Amino acid sequence: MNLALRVGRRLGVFVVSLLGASLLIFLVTHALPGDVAQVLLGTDATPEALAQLRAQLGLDRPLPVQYLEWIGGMLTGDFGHSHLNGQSVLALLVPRIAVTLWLVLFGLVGSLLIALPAGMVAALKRRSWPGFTISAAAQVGMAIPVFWGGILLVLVFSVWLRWLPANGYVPLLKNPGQWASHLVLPAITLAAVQAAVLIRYVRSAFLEVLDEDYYRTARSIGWTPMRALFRHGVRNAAISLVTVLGLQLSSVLVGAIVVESVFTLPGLGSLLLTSVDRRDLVVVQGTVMFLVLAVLVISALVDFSYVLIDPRQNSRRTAAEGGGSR
Amino acid sequence: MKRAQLFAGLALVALVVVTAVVSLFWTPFDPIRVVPGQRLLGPGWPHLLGTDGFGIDIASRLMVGARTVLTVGIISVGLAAVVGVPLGMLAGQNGGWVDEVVMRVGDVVYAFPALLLAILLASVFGASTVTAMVAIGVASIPAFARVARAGTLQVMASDFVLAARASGTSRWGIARRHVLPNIAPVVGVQASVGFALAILAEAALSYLGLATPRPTPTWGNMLRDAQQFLFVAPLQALWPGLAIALAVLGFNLLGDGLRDYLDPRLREVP
Amino acid sequence: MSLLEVRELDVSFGRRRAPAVRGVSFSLDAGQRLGVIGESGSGKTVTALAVTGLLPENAHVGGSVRLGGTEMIGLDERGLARLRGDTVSMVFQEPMTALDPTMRVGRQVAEVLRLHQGAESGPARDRVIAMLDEVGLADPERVADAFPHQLSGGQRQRAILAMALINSPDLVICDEPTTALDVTVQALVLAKLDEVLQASGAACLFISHDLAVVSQVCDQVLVMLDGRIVETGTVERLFTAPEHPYTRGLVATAQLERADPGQRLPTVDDFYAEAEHG
Repeated sequence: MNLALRVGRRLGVFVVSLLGASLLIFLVTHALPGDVAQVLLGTDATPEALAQLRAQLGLDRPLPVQYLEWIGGMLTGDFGHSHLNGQSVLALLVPRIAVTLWLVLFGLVGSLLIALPAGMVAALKRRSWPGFTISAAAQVGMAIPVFWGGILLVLVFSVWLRWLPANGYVPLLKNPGQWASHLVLPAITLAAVQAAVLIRYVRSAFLEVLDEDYYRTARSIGWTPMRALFRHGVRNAAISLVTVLGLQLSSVLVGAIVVESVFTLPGLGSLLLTSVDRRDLVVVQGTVMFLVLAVLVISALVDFSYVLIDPRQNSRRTAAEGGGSR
Repeated sequence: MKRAQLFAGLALVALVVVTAVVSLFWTPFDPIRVVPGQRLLGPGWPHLLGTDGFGIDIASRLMVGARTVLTVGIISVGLAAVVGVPLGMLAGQNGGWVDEVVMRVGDVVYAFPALLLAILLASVFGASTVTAMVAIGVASIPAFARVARAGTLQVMASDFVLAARASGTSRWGIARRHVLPNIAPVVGVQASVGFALAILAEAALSYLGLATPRPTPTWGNMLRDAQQFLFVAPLQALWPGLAIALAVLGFNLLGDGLRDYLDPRLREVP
Repeated sequence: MSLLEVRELDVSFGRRRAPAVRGVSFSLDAGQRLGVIGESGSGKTVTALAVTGLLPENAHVGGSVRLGGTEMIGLDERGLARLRGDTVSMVFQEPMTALDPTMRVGRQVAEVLRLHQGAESGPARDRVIAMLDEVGLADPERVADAFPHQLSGGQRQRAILAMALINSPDLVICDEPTTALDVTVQALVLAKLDEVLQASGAACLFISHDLAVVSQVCDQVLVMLDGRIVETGTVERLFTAPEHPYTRGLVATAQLERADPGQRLPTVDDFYAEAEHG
């Protein structure tokens, strides 16, 4: 299969997934007894008042029409308006994206900085104490819920040592120092918990490399085990790790939402949670759609990135085509 | 070493189960009733782990919390397995467009972590144990479908299935007699690992207020309460977290141990 | 003094110390070629790996292996790495998997030079191309720029041969280098191996299960069975007057073309039965 065809196919899958996801979100938020009008007016509202409000909000039209309108709006950048206060969902989202983005970014990068070296050592020293220690630590780390990890860090660094703030946020442009000090603990929390999961994958990816013939070849020409693993292992292990990273992404996003709540950071997660409390369905619907869109876009990008890492992916010339000995 | 992991996992899981069962009949104190005079006591006697911000015995609430965890775990993992395994078998046995549709739908659901589903459900129905269970269960379906599909493909390629097909056994017969028994072990491992994930998800949801609401105690909502008193009674934030970590560790170790036990090829050479 | 001196080599694996090589001794002079022959599990590959210190971590090694005067057993990784690719190089059995799939072939061959001579990439490339040409690869420029999957098995094995010889090692260890190749390609690669060994004057330890293949490259042969050396001698003597029943079996199976049509082909077991009854 050639490259253009594969890219086209992947894009098709992306569009279909996006439509499926939007349909799912729409059905959950609409096919229900207690609709928005009921929530807004309370249980003792008169049927006339309910009907009037429904008409006003466009809720009396057939569901397919409402769905198409929602989709159409999103295509033009309109994620809808809150039924409660008329605010544009997009206007609510935009200022909060940065906070969540920082968290996801630091969480992902931090977890890689921890998991890559730790996983490599765990693989290389799997029969001695460094390997056992790292594997055991990862096993324990995987069992620690991200919010409890955050609470523990707050206990140590905010309650006892009083080095760092326990919650709140300051934008980067306002005061970079304050910004950093407010993000340190949340970022470490997210990175550490994520790293625990990643270490296992990194370890097994590198264990596979250790079994490969090319690793033995590399050692036979004079690389030490550690340097052979760096030189010939990292790129090969990356091929299997990229998949894992793609799958991990949604869990980093979830982790970020939870961490925002632990440290009361004003990101997308806190927007979602307050909207759930107020039953502001339009905002919830728009924000969830936005997050799912992000997950789908990134998983498509992950698939494309194979082409950059694995030379076998972009040319499908086989030994026969390449010509035998002449 | 591997055997030790399996037994450690079994022991931790047994501890959670026994605690949950005992809590049905007996807890040291009432886990619900507010006692204003006894707020935020430290660990001691008779309140072994102290009392929370409402003056309720923490140990008693922890015991009842084990019950919530098991209920949510069993129902959500059960839901995921009952829906996911047949779908995976269907995809694996038929291949072609059936396979394609099942896996693509799985991919879409996969883009919805339990948390997002729970948020959607809670915003419509209000947060409850049921919305949490449905969210966790639905989000876990693709994992079960994937495992079942991979196992089915393997079984379908084997000689005994070929023989059964040659002798005219129906698809349904092959699924029931050959595929299901052979994929049961991997599904079991997935169930154990899925249970650990379900516990983590339930804890996170109830911590965020998206699952079982007060006054019913869960380990997650206990932590939510404890966080308010972090500067006054920091120890309170330890116990529920420890309970979650031990339970998750138990199911993870059990899953890993089972996997090694069932698949001798994965055992490391001596 | 010999180039390679192996004395009472013992290798066992795992906690149960399953023996793989027992009391193996032999020596190899500079420029000499020695074949090691035996079936799988006879300990021939383990012996080769022990010489370069590439045995897996769970191996227990006893005895002595002196390469160019340096004791290899017990030498640390750093010391071993300095010798590998410089004094001794290896050619493995599986050309399809022995090269890093993510790196261009020319760069992999050049690595040997970079490692041991600190060569710059410009001049290194010229030497790589020249070496690829020497091992009989047509269009060496294209091969150097190719990824392994774009080459055939025979091409890859010759690239590996180039890698093993480019730094002019004193000893080249070949572990079943042609077993994975087609018969026609096999003959070609063996001829090239013979040619480049001749040109560089390197010694060769050639491991194979096939006496016919060994006889094309080597003059001296060791026969291994169950981790022990059961017979040594020149290729000619082994063919004309094999002593050990196992060797007799090997010789007979290597000369199948001489069997009468319609006759049941001999197996090694036949010769054991013979030895027991005779």
